[in-house]
Amino acid sequence: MAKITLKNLSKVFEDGYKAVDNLSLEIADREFIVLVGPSGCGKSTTLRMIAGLESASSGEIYIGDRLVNDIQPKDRDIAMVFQSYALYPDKTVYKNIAFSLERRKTPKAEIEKRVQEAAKILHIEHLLNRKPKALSGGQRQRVALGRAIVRDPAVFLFDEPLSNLDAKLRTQMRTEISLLHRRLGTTFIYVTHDQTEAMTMGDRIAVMEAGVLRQCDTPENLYSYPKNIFVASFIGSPQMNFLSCVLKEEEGAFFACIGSDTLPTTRRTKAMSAFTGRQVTMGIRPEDIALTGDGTPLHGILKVQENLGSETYLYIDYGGATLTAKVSPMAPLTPGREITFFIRGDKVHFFDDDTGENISINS
Amino acid sequence: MKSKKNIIIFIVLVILCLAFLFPVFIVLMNSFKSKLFISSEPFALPTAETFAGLTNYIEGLKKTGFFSAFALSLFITAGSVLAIVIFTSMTAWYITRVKTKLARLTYYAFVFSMVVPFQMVMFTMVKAANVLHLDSPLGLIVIYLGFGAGLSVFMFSGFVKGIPVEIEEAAMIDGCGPIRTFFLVVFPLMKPTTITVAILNAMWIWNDYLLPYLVIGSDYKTIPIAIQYLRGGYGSIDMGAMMAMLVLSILPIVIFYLLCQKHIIRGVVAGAVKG
Repeated sequence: MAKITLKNLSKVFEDGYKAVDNLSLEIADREFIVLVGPSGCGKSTTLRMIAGLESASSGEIYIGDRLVNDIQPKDRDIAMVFQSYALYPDKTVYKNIAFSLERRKTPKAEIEKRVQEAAKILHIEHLLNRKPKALSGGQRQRVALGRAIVRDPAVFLFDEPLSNLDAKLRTQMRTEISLLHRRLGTTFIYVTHDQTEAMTMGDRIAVMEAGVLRQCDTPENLYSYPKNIFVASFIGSPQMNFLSCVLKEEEGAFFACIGSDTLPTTRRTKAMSAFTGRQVTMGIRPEDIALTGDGTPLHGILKVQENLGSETYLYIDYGGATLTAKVSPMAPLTPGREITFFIRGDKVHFFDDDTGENISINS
Repeated sequence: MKSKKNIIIFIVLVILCLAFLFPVFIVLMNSFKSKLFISSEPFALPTAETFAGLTNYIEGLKKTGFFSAFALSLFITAGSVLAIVIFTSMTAWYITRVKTKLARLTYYAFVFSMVVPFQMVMFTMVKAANVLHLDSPLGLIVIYLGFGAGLSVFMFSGFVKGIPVEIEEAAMIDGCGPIRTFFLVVFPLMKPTTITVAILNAMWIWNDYLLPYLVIGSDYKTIPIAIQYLRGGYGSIDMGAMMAMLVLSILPIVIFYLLCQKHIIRGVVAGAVKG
């Protein structure tokens, strides 16, 4: 068990591409942290630098109190689960799981005991004599997990381990990995591009974009208090709606002027005062748009209605922009007709058009 | 329409098969005929009159020193194949994984060496072998390693490209350095290509006449050279003994091929598809 510290970590590849840019992050002992972001944001490169599979161009990596920049992967006391499972195709499941222990000259009886224990945890006792090609995707992923947990490492690294599984199995394995974390009580670093995986699994989530850490916080805080427009748009499904508006302040109260409509908001920060009279971007979560309520009624044209059973998505054309509203299940409406809706003024966010920073939350 | 096409292909393949097997059959058949009848009736089946039993074999073994030639051929073939498999598989792994210009250049040099005909370099090579004291059976293994490297590196490289690099990274995390990663993880995966490379090189080296004749021919006799010595002065040839010795020289490599033949197809396909 160990905490991980990344200090001003950067990675520039030989072709000049900057994959990770000055990343600093502290991961507590026993924490489950998820690195999330779109493809090419540097999350996998960061993980590979922690594993020692990529060297850092600059910065420092500490596992516990030990600086590990120049330490071989095998000596970092880590275990890694790969997206492609990376099982040894010519070895049985038993040999795959036992391989790292054999390399460390662990006594045979001890190896047998630990492999059986790991197999029991992952329910793969009956597969120990099979070769990987005779296993399903889910079973292979369990073997990959077995290979990691048998080592009893200080840190577990997961590089998009569920990407190759179908939706049902992915949900099941997601729960199992969360349970495994609770059971082992070890530091987990998990990389994914799937924000649902990130939101459901992580104690904290580090959102990355273009090699830069945009925000690291709990899932609840990321959702409710995104620091910038990138995090606001990346976290949440369906994603946050964005509208251009002019911010006004009258007698200490703020208003968003969208065309001829004026929307009062209870948000109030020092930063917002500095933006009075200027154009900003307003962000609204789909569930904060309702068809009933009080405040300013807004009018749009219903484009599409999607009934998902437990909820309904409405796509509304409002002044040329399409807003997505998430409402309770309802009878079908007629597309193309005018619809009246309300935006919860206490839940909206305002973003600086130039920097993308959220000016409606106190930092 | 399709079955008609299949029948034509089948007939062509049968004709090709017969064309390849016919000389082997003639050699085998004549090895049991009395030497007087081999020249006069080469295509006739043995009869009670022409059948010679094992006389040709006994005669051939006596005249050629077959067993010492067999031992030398075996030593050179086994040593060369072992050296080719070990060194070229490691080379292929390195130049495939290390993405430098030098590695790519080395790869192209190996590929280029395949298209240079042996006859073009043989005299300079023999001179170089003399200067470098490689004109011995052990030295011949080094020369075969050089000539066999091009095709072998090419085949191994194609296979290595198909091995996911994550497997090697997993091995590194599991406690392996580069040497162990290669021998414990990568090399076992190369088995189909290793067998293909071994068979192709073994067939070539076992049957090779010219290179050993040029380099060590005056002091050491491999099987093809020993059989060649059955040609006496003034063009007289003991055809019976020669046929018998040819059969004995073909046998080991045919047995080796039959034992490994299912892998040769798998190896070629594995390299081609995965690459």
